[in-house]
Amino acid sequence: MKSSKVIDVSQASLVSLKAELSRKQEEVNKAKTEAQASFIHPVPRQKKEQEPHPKLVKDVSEEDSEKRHEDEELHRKSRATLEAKARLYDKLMQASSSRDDDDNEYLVNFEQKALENDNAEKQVRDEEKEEDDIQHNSDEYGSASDSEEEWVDYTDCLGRTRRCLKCDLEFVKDKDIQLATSLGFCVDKKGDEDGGKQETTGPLKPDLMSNDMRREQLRQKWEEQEELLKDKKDIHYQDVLFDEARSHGVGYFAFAQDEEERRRQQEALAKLREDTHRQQDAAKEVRRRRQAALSARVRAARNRQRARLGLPPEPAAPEPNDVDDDTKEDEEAKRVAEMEADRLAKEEEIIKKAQTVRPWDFGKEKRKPFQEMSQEDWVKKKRKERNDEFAPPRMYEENKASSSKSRASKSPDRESPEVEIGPVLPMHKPKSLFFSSKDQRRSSKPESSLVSLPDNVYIDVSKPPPSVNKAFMYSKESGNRERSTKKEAVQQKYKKIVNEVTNPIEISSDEETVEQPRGKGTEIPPPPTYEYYGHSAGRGKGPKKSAKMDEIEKSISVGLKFLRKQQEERAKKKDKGLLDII
Amino acid sequence: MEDVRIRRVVQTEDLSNVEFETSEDVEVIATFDNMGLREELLRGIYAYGFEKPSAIQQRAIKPIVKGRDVIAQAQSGTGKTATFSIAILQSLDTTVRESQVLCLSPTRELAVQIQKVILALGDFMSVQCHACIGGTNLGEDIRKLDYGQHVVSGTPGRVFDMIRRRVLRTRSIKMLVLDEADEMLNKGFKEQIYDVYRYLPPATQVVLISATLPHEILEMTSKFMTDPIRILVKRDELTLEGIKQFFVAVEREEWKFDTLCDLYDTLTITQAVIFCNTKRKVDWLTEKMREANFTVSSMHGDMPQKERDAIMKEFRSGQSRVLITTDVWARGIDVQQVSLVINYDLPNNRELYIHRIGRSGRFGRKGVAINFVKSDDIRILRDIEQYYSTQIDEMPMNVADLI
Repeated sequence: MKSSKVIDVSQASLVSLKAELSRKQEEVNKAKTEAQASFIHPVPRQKKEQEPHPKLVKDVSEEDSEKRHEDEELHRKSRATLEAKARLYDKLMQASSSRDDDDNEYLVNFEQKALENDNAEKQVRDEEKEEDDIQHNSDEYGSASDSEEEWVDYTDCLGRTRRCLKCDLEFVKDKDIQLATSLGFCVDKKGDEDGGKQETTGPLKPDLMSNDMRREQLRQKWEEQEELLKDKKDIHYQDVLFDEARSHGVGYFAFAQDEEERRRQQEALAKLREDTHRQQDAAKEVRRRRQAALSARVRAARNRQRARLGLPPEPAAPEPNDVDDDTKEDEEAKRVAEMEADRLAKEEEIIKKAQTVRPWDFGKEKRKPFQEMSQEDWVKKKRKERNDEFAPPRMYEENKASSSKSRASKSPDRESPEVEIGPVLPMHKPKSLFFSSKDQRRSSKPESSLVSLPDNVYIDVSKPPPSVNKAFMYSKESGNRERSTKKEAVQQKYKKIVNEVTNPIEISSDEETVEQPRGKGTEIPPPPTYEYYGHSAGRGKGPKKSAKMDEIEKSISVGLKFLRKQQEERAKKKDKGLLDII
Repeated sequence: MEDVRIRRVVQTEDLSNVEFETSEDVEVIATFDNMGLREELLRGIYAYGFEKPSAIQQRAIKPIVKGRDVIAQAQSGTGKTATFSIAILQSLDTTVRESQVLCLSPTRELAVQIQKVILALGDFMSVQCHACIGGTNLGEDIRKLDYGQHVVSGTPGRVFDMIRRRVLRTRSIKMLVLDEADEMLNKGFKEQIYDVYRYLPPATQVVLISATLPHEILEMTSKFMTDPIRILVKRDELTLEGIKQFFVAVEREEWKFDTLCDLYDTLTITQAVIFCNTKRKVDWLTEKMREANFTVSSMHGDMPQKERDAIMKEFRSGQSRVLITTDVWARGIDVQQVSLVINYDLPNNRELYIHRIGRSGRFGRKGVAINFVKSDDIRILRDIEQYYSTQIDEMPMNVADLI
C-alpha cells in the first residue's frame, strides 16, 4: 500500500506521523507483553475450555498442548472437586427452600439465597449471569496482573478467539451478538432453548455433530434436492451446485432455485442495471453540460478580452466531449456488427464444409433444413406402407414402367424409384414435357440417380444410418468406399440447384438434364383429386384396355412432340433474345 | 455420372512424418469484451469469475463461434472447458428448444461438470443443458431430453443409446465437442464416437479439446473434420510452472503406505487426490488408511453411480479432503481447492501423468505433485521428465510450505 500511494506531504507532518506511529507501536507492544503474561497461565486457559465453544477453543489451545498435558491431571482433580461442590450447593439450596432448618454447618445462607431467587427470579438470573461473567474473568485473570488494562480472551460467533480489554467485554459481546444476528446464527439459537450470552457461540448444530453425521445429513439434503430436480423442467446453475466450495466472480449472484423467485430476481437485477445505466448516462450528461457551460463561459471571457483588444470574436470550437459520449453506443454497435460478421462467417463455413465430404460422413444423407412433408411425399410414404394385397395389380406397374416414356410427364411422382429400377431404363424421357416445374424437379432427381446407381439411393431419415462403412475407420482401402462414393456423388447431384430463370442456354444444351424453366411451358395444376385417384386417364386405361393403349399413347406422343417443338422454339427465341441483349 | 465433381478429403499420404503446428491465421483477442459475445453471456462469464481470457480462450473461442472446426490444446487448468462452453453458448439459439450441441466426455463426472459450467456461464441466458450419462435412471433421462435441451453433455454410451431410441434427436445438432479428445479417439472410445457421429448431420462442426494431443490423434482428425484450425502446445511447454513436481524414492512397495501416512498432515492443508492404478488398490489403500485412523474417501468406476455422485459432491463441497481414486479422476475434473496430487503408482502413460498432476494448480493456483517411486520406477519418471522437459526433484522437507 505504501508503495502504490504517492501522497504529497510536508516533511513536518511526516515526522510527526512517524513519531505517533512509534508511540503507538510501543504501546501495543507493551500491551501485548502484558497480555501474554496473563495468557500463559494454564488455569484460566483450562477454564476456557468449558465455555460454550469447546471445540474451537480447543483448536487454539492445542498449540500448547504439551504444557496442558502436565496440568491435566491437576485439572481433572480440581474440576471434580468443583463439580462436587456445585452439586452440594445446589442440593443445599433446594433443600433449604423446602425445609426451614437452620443449619449452621455452612457459612453461606442458602435459605436467603433461595428466597431471593423466588422474589425476583428474572432479575437475579440476569445479574447472576453478569456476575458469572465477571467471576469468570476474575477467576481466570485475577492473578494475572493487577493493572487496570486487563486483557480478556473471548470467542466470537465465528469461532475466532479474540482479545479485548476487560472493561470492553460487554460492549464487544453486544457487538458480537449483533453480528451473529446479522449472519443468521440466531435462527439456530432460537430453536435451542438457551438464550442470553450463549448466542455468541455460533451455530450449535454442527458443533454437536460428528463428521459422519454431518456428511450423512448433507447427503440426505442433496438427495432431496435431486428428487426435486427430477420434476423440474428448467434446470439452472443453482440447482446443480450442491454446496460446491467454489469462488465466483464479484458479479456472481446466487439466484433462487424457485423458478418464480428466480425470475423476479433476474428482473430486479435487470432493473438495477438499467437504473445504473440511466444514472451513469445522466451523470455523464450533467458533466457534459457543465463542461459546455464552462467552456462557453471561458469563451465568452476570452471574447470579451478580445473585444477589449479590438479583435473579432473567436470562431466556435467543436464540442470535444461528444466523443466520450459515443463510445458506449459505439461499443454496442461494434458488438452487434461483430456478431453479425460471425454469423455470416458461420454460414459461409457451412457452405464450404458442404462441398467436401469427410470419410466418416460417407453414405450420410445431405444435410438439409427440416422440411415439412408435402402431401405427395406423405402419400408416397403411405403407399410404401400399404399392404401389397391392396395395391393395384402388378401388371399395372409394369405397364406403367414400359409406357413411362409417355406418361412420365403426367404422373411422375407416382413412380417410386423401386419401380423404375425395372428392366426398362428411363433413358430417353422427353424431359421438356414436364408441365409443372415443381413435379419435374422432384421426379428428375431419382432419374438422374438411377443411371449411376442400381440400388436404392434414398436413406430414410428415420432409419439408422447405414453402417456399411464402419470399415472406414480403420482401413483406407475398402470395397465399400467405391459404392458410397457413388452415393455421395448422387447426393451431390440431388442437391444441385438449377438456376431456372437466367440460364436457359446451359440447360437446353445439356441433354441429360434438360430442365424446363419454370413457368415457360404450360403449367397445368393437377386436379384436386389427383393425389388420391391419380389422373383419370392413367387410371382409366387399365391393363385390360391394352388395345386402346397404343392409340392413346400415339396420340399423346404426338401431342407431346408438338409441345416439345413449341418449347424448343421458345427456348431458341429466348436465346436469340439473350444474344441480342448481349 | 463419373464426371460429378466431388472434392474428397481423403488423406492417402502418410501423415506420420508431418509435424502439426498451430494454424497461422489464429487471431488473439485480449479481452472478453472484444470477442463480440452476447451481453448475457458476458455477464455470466464475469459472474463465474473470469476476468481476462486465458491464452487458449483468447485464441479458440472466436474460430469456434465462426463455425470452424477447431483442434485446441492447452495446459491443464487453463480454462479449456470454459473455452468451448463460451463458444457453445454464443452459437446457441435459445429460442429453439432443440439439441444443438452435443458434447462428449470420457467420464460421467466430467460430463456433469461440463453441464455445470455451461449452466453457470449461461445463467443469464436461460440455457438448458442436460447431463446424459450412464448409471442414471433411463426414464428420467428420456423425460429430460423430451423437455428439449439446447446442449447435451454426456458420455458416449448413454448418448448413443438415447439417439438410437430417437429420444435425442440429432437433426438440429450443429456442433460436436469432444472433450479430452485424445482419450475419446483412443481405442476404447473411438468406435463409440464413430457410432454417434454417424447419426449427426454431415459436415457437423467438430471441436476437439485436450491438454494432450498425441500425433496419431492429430493424424486421424481429417476423417471427420474439415480444414480445422489447430491451436497446439509444444510438449516442452505442457507442464505448468505453478505445479511443482517431486518424487519420493521408496525401496519397497510397503513403504509407500508409511510415506503417505507421514504426509497426511500435508494432504489435509487443503485438498488432495491420491492416484492408484487399479480399483482394487484404491479399495485396499482406503481400507488401510481408515484402519490407521485417517479420514479418507475413495472413488472408482466400480462403485454405483449414486455413491460416485455423493463422493464427488462431498469432495467438491470440501466435506472430504483426501480422495483416493483411479484414473477415472485423472482427466478434466476441476476442484479449485485441490493443491496436492500424489501418484501412489506412476501412471501408465505420459499423457496420464500430465492429466493427473493437472488436478492441482487450477487456473493459476499453486500445486504440488508427489510421485512415489520404487527404484525401478525412477527410470520411467526420468523418461517423463525428459519428454516434457520438466523438472522432478526429490521431495524437500518443507513441502507443506509450497502448498
